[in-house]
Amino acid sequence: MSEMSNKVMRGLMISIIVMSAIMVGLSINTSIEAFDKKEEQEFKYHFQVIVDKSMEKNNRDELIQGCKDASKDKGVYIEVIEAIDDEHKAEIVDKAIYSKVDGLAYNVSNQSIATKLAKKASAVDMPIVNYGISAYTDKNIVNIHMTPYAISSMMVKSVSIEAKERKLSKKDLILVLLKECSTKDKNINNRLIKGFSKGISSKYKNNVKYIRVDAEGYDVSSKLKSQIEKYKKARIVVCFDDEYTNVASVIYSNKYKKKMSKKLTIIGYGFNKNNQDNVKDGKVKTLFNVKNQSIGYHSVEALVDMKKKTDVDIKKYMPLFQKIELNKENEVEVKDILVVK
Amino acid sequence: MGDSMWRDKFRVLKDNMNKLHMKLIMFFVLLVCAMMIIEAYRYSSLEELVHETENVFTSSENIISVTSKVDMVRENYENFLASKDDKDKKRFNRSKSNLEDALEILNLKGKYSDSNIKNVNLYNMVSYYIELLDEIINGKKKVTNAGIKEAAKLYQYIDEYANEIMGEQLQVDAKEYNNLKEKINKNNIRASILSAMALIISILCIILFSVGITTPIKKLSEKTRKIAEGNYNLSVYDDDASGEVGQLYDDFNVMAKSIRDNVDEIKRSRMLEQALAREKINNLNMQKALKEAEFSSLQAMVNPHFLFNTINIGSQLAMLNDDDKTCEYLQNAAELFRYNLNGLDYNTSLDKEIENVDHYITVMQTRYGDSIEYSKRFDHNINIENIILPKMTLQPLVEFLYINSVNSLEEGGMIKILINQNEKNYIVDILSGGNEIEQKIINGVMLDDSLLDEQTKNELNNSVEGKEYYMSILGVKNAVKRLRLLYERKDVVYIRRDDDINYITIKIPLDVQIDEV
Repeated sequence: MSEMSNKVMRGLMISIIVMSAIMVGLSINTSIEAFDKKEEQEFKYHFQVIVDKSMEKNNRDELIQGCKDASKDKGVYIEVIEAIDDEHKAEIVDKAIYSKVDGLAYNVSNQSIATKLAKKASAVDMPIVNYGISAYTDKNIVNIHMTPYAISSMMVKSVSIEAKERKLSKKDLILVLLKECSTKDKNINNRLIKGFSKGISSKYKNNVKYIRVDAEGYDVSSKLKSQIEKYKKARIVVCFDDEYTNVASVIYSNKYKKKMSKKLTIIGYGFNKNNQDNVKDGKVKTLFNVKNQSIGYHSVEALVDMKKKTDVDIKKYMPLFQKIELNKENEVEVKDILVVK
Repeated sequence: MGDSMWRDKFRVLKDNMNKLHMKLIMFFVLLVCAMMIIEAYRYSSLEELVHETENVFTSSENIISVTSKVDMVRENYENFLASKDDKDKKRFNRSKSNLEDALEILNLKGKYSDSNIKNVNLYNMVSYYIELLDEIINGKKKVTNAGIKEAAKLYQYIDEYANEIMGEQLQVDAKEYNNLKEKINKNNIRASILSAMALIISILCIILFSVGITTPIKKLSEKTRKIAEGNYNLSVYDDDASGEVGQLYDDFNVMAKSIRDNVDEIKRSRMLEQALAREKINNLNMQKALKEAEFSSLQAMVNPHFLFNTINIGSQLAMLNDDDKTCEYLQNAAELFRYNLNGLDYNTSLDKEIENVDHYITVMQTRYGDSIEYSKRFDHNINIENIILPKMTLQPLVEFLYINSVNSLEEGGMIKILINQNEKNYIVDILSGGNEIEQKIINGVMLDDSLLDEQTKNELNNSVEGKEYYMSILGVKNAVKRLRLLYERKDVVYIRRDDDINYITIKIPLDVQIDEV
């Protein structure tokens, strides 16, 4: 046989060997995949975390991520369940009790429902974390959240600094836009105002104007605009709602365009995509946010501690506050701020 | 020592691997292995897919089994509540036990995952339900409305949960089914591609093997055919041939060389035999010609010695009687006879032949007077003593010309001898004027008797000119024959006529070395 055909023969035989190796490899790979599928991890505890379906997607995802991070660190299993409203949450809690879940975390703002649920869970010695508003508490229940008072107390510091930088005169206004569409909102706003007014520098106390706006969804833009039009002297605008922060920044930037940063400063709350862009574009100077990831993480942490009957130190579970603004390089910078109650 | 042993073993192995049969064995073994592995892959893929398919349905089966048993337990519980009958209690306990057994399959003992957590919850819920009903039925707990309501609520929860699980499971099953379908298709495609590749590779290998085997055989077959056609100077070389093919080529070359040598040997022997045979034939012909010449000579001479002596005495008498002419005549005649007496079976030089012709012409001139004009002319650079001819060659030719062209003329004619030389030959021309020689006579002289027709032979034999005429033809024929035999050429002598001159030309090659014997 010629040298060429010998080489070709060798090449063909090598191809057969390689092909066989591929086959063996594929078979092994398939077996490994199959093997991987079957393996399940053993967990110490099984906790359920109930999240609002209406919660803003980013915030919800951050909360769940925080829970999952904690579950990895603590070796517990987290089951995330979406709930429509507080009644649905009550049903879920009921089922959880019958399912002998090791612990629950939820956000129930309705006081009576929250209390009822807490008592029920407490009756079966089930640890509860309510990462909503403060409610009934006992040894099996921990509340993890930022109070409106605490939020406004944090934000007012930035307002005072900004007022000083702008050298506000007596006529200049610090406009505080508050979303008030329900009694619940009213109660929250009262606490916000309390915190804000307590925290604002005495020099600028009289510059502050609180505007309660009853607007949601499509109404927000027009109603806010009409309010903003009334207060032409506003130099600092503070919003405690993410949607209001976004809409206000749009209105003012349309009004003042390039002169916006000279004319006024917006300090807002709520870390969503629009507001992030607003910070990047310079429409919003400072944005505040409660770090939902820390809420999720601390909730699971607290549940584990309660299950282990470890002493629960509420301060340990304080969620982080976030401050978002542009740095010297004009890049969006997110800073975590620990809030001590 | 060890290293060299391994090296030797490796060399032997390598040499073995070069052999065709080893290559064939290896190829087939590899092919079978490849096919088996492909089949093994197909089988393992199918097994895995079957297993996954089973899993798809197993979880649904488990839930259905549990929920149906829960229903049974509930039914028995309600029956007992209504009847308070021990039989219903026993039925309840049995169904409860069945449910507990069925439930065990959902007990994952802490091994949670996203896919099975709901089963865990259901397990716990059903366990709670069993406990609750058990407490009610077996009197551990007081039967209260709240308790019954709780049991009912729990059953509703279980039912909802089970339905939820089944619904989700159905979606998962559908997804799994699509995945499985896709996997099966992918696996089939992979396996088919690999099988096709294996098939193509096998076909290529088979083609290469068959070409590798048949090509050298064809080559050898072609060479063998050429050998059969007589071309023995062949060999087969291929640097890439190894193993059995290389061995075949080597053996073929040995065989071809052997055939070549044998054929050469046979050719040499045949050539020798042919040469010997030719020599033998020449000798026989020469002897025959000599015999004929002797015979004709003997016929012409009764007792040559007696005649020679008689003529010599006659010559002496003539000399004594002052008869110079007679003396000269007799002396020449004696010379003629003496030349003849010495035999014809040897060669002589041209100068002696010419001397003999001179004697003959003198005799003839004496006899016929001045009717013969005889002259000779030759280049003195030619050394005629070195030119060899058979004895008694020229005289018969001269006599032939005289008889056939000059003799019949009243006024006589010219006979001339010219000797020249060209690049290749000595040219001895014997010329005569007079009549043209008849073609039948020329044929009778130049051609072999076997080539003459009967009429020509008879005419020559029964010539009206008489015996002398016949004898002269015989003599020339003999001379021509002897010249041809000596020089081994047919064209050594030829007769022609040119410008009313008859020519007999003898062409003697310059490069032929013949000794005067």
